[in-house]
Amino acid sequence: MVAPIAGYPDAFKLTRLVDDDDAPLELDGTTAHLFVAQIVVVQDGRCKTESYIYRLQADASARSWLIRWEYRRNPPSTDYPYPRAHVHVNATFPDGEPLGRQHIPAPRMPLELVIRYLISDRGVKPRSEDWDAILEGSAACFDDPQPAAR
Amino acid sequence: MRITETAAGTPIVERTLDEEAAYLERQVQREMGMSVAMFKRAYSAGDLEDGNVAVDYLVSLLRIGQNGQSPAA
Repeated sequence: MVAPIAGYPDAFKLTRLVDDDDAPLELDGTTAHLFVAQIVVVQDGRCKTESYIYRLQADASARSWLIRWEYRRNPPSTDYPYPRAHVHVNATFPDGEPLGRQHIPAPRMPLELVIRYLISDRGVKPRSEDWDAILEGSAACFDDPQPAAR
Repeated sequence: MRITETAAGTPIVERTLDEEAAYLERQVQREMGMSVAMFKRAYSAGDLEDGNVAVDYLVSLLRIGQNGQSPAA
């Protein structure tokens, strides 16, 4: 669903709601879930992504997260040292060091590429035979410039 | 709350200011067991860890540092 953010007429949130609470999407062909929360601001007649969270989860619980793609247009704190577009992976290095809290740099990620990954590598079943063309066409609209260094 | 649809059938959920505030309070309470005000204070004080799944989600949801709002100290 899309929700205009009350008090901010140019800002919209895209997510799934169940009983007016944010909830992950159920995926065909797997027990995994995908949580999507994206905030879009309309400026000068164009949609700008303010932030996104694409979170692959083993089940409906956020605690079961496996991979998180995250982005914020601006740093949330004055001393925020991390790349504003990054990935978290719930895994450990071979030496046992946990990766989950690390902000691994990543380019701005279209949701379409995450969906492609879910279909190609994670066994998610697309609902349309022409899913590839649909994703290609939709991703072509993703034209925000990449951040230079952060 | 008013619910309509886009031409493609995507639901559009429009909340009043009070409903928006209640929705945000509910999400923060669910994820962290605290109020929005407490969360903002704790994040600003550096008591919450960036990288934590719930903190990252709520920082984005509350738009901390975005849309002209000052970033946390």
